Amino acid sequence: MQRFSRHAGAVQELICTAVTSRWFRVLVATFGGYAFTVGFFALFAVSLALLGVGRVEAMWWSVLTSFLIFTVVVVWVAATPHPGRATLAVLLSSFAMITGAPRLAGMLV
Amino acid sequence: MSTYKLQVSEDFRAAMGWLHTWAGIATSCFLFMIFWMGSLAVFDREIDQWMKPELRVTEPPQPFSYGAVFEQLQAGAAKGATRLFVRAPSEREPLAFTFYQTEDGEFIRGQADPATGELVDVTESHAGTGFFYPFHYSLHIPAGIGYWIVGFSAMAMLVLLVSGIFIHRKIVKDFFTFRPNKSLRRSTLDLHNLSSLVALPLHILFPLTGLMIFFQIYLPWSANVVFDGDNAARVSQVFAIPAVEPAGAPMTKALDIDELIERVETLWASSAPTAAPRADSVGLELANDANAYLMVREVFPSRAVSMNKHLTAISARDGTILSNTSAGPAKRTYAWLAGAHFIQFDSWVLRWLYFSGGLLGSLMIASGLVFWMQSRIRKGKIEPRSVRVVRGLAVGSITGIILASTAYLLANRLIPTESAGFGLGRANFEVLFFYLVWLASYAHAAARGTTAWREQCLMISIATSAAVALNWMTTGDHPIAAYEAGLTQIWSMDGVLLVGAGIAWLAARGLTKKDPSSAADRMVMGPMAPELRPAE
Repeated sequence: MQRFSRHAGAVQELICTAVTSRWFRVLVATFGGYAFTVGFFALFAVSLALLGVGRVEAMWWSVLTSFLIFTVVVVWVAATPHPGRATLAVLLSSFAMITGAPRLAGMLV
Repeated sequence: MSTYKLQVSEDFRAAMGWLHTWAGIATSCFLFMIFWMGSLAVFDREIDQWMKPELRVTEPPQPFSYGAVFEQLQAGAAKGATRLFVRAPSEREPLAFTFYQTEDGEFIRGQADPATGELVDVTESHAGTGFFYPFHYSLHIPAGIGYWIVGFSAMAMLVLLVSGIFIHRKIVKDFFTFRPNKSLRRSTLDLHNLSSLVALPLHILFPLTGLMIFFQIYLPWSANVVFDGDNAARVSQVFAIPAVEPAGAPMTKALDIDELIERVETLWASSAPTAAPRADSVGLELANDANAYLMVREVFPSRAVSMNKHLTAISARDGTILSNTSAGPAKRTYAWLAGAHFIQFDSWVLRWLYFSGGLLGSLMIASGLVFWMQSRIRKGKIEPRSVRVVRGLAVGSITGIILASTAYLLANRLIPTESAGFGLGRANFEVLFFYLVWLASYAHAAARGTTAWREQCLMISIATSAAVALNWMTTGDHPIAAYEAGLTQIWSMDGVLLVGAGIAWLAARGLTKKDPSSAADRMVMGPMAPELRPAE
């Protein structure tokens, strides 16, 4: 039991070191930021379409905003004092948007 | 009354400094290539005229007949083609541009005489529109990889701009500070700050709109979600493509093409009475079929920044309007932003401003790289390997690509017009020259170290002067003759080449004086000021 907890402590320390490293931030900012943008684009366009905006116009609104959102996410992940929390927030929200947007699109007439 | 002040903590500033440094190092070489080629692409059609002397025609005839060009194409080379396209001549493009898709699916491009509609033989070269311009957005790397590298670099550029703004303590002061007589490191940082701030709006506009233009490549899944994942549905709705199936029977009697285009222009004018919309390109779809139709476009209105103003499909059989675009506020905003990136509007002043903005962007990237290297060189110490590696890459990507671009122009004038390029084709043979010189510049940079900057600047100076001389020798159009003949594009380009030669020569001379490897400069540098220390 003691041995197990010693290993668990080492793994926890390793994760902590990895999460606080700059390379980790770079990876989350790049790929997490991209996933977030993919999800945001889809969800924003679908939400606007559900609110009555034409599909083509809704897509253009997403085009206009998405890359600015990507920039904000990258800067935030690079600068936040809590990279672990930021990673969870980016990944979970990306997952939610990527899975939720097509379901919502199914509600479009 | 309470006041609010934006607090930027030192931790945040340090994080932004780190982000700025490493995002810059990782993408600077690509960013310079993209900015350099983008700057050249501002004058891509003028470069076409320089590299293809047959295009040196002063004024296109008015009015232009699309019908005559389509007729000539269908009677000759494009007989049996299913899809044809004609772009009207303009002040920048005196011959009509044509392309058609053969029954085998192959796309053939060409130029037609606007007066007769006949295809004109021109020097085989990719030139500005076929080489420099696509290099700007795809780097000519196949399988879409180039687009992704450019997209990644553009995103990095946005991040660099945001982080760069945050790490500056005194933005206004930096705007007015340039000390060329200080140490190389100090004056390079001044130059980096100055070139960033002077054209900051353009530096933000270029990468942001570039990413927007290629959103279908960067976010393909996302773009389709609102169309239930159906890409074909999205394309047909966005580009107003009518749902017309081939009838399978030949067209018996088509209406007059010019008359149909006039009808569409009247329709456009009715919705915008103050403007005088003119079709600038027309596509003939399902050609030779009974259901053939025209896609009539006003892509680049000459007096407006906004592009893709009008797009209408009209039946060639009975003149029925099959589809017509209508733009909402988001589409109109996008059209303006995209138009501001494509720069096809009719303003020479703005075109030169963009060219200068592109060159300032190139200067900003180059000076940032040089500053990073200089701040890593310590007095009396051996240069770190990282500096040598980055310098090799930087020299090849900065002076190397400029030299290669000039070599491309030289190859164009040196290779005979009738050459088959040893089986490669003349146009590809020119491109081979470009890549050989570019590769050689990297090898030269690796071999010569710091002196490579100076030597390549000298080579650029000689090569650009030689390009002007070769243009004179092969076409007779020296700058004064071109001026007298009204060939503005030619004498302007020769002028830019000569100015470039002068700048490169001055840079080489300046680098001789400011060689950082020289003992004198090391003395001047002294201990590093805290704000100049590299982020670790």
